[in-house]
Amino acid sequence: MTQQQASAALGVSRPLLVAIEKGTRDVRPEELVRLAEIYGKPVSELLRSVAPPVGIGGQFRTALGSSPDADELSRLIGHLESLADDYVDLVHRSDATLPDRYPAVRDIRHLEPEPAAEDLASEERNRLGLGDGPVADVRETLENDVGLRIFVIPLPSAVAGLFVHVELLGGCVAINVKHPPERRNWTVAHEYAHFLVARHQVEITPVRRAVRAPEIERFADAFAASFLMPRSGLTRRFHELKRGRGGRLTPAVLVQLAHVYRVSVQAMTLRLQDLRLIPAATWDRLSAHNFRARDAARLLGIESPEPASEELPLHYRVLAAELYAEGEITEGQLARYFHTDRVGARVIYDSVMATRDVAADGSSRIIDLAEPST
Amino acid sequence: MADRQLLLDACVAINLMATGRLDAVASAAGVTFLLLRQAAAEAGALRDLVGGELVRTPIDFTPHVQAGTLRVVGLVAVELPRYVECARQVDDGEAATIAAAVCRGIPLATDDRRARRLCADLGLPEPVRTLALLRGYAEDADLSRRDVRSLLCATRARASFAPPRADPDTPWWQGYFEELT
Repeated sequence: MTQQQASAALGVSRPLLVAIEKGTRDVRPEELVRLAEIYGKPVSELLRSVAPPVGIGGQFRTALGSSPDADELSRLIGHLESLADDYVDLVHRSDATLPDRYPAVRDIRHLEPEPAAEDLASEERNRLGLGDGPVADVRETLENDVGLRIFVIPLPSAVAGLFVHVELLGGCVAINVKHPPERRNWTVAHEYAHFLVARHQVEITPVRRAVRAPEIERFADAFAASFLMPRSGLTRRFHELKRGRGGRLTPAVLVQLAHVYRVSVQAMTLRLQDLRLIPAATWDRLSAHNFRARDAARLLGIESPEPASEELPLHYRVLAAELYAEGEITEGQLARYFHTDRVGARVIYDSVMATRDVAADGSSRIIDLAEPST
Repeated sequence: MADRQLLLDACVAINLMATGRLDAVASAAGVTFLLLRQAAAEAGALRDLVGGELVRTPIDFTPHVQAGTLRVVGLVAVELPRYVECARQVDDGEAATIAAAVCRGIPLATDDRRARRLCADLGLPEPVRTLALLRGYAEDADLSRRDVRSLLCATRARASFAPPRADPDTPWWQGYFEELT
């Protein structure tokens, strides 16, 4: 809505509306209530003491220019911006500090992308104390141990994720909630690569790439593969599994490894090809035989991992829940921070503030860690 | 319709709707419930298990409005300054409810800690809580323990309600849940 339209709806001149919005003319209560109706926002939000500071939309303007989903993406980036604004608001209200263990930006110019990615992934795993095994929860690891702010939101199906660096929040990643958990893990690691080497460039990651992808994208994909499936640990597990099957390589080995490393069977097969542990073009042959990874996993009794569907980073949810527990915000405000209704907010609150334990009689019980006491 | 009125904040309205017995609770309390439009708009949905799947059941106050036990009302012009003042501290639903309580001199019901603190700051009488209303109804209707447990379980299952420790009726509520373990 333009200022002209808003001023007409409010029944004041445009300069007067501008003066109200700038705060140079006090707004009357009835004008504020009417403005909230016009903008479709709560009165309490218009009165929020901290101005929306993030401005993500502007950073994506150039990157959006060539996207076929520009309009839809623009709207969804607006949603990400509002989540980021709320995050900053929560940090401000809580007087909290944002967790971050950011390494210096790595310069990869004039380096071959694949070996450089393998080296950096190995360094990062060491820095984060991950050893050479599978990462149990890559989102949680990068949120808690690095300080990336990872949001899981709906994006156009052809878009895997977004990356943007925001001054007040640091590295922000958006992952497509519509994609399977294995694909989301890959996207998180891919966006982390962008954060490590090109922190101040926004990124829109498509699901499929042109045949000749730019070097930075080749680097980010190679980093994701090495970070999620480190050479030494994967090689060891591959040989163990193969030995257990009398030295034969079967699709079941690929499915089991993919499950253990929480990646797709395709990503695992391509990684094993790159490591020359299986013949080149194995994935092409599987595809030609109409191999269906999900059906194979089901036959092996392997469950797909539960998708972590929480839209908001854990740190964000904890900040909001603690403010509510301390009586600093109301249930309505909690629901607004969680972008859900009140009952939805209660469910999220319970999941954040309660931990499951076993009672003396062996039954399951929930201990509330921060129940309001007054 | 009762002469006495009680303003419901959204959190209490949701809990009462979860029991499916809002009319009976109003009758036991001898009040007509008032709900500000802003609070009604924040009610959202309950969660119900249907065929093993959790589904959202939108909260619809219409039957209770038609029964005359609940009136959904708006603020009038003279109440807007107080509403805006309250909205600096709490959300719109709570702000509208508290503004109406102040301006009309009507008691209100809320479990919300922040909203209750604002009521105290404004010199309002201590707000009623969900459990006081449910306990009053259970005693007035002489419900069996099984019925009371089912009433409380509905607030837990459908509205994810759990009373704060500070609620004097929390031990009463816990007594029914301990029977289940």
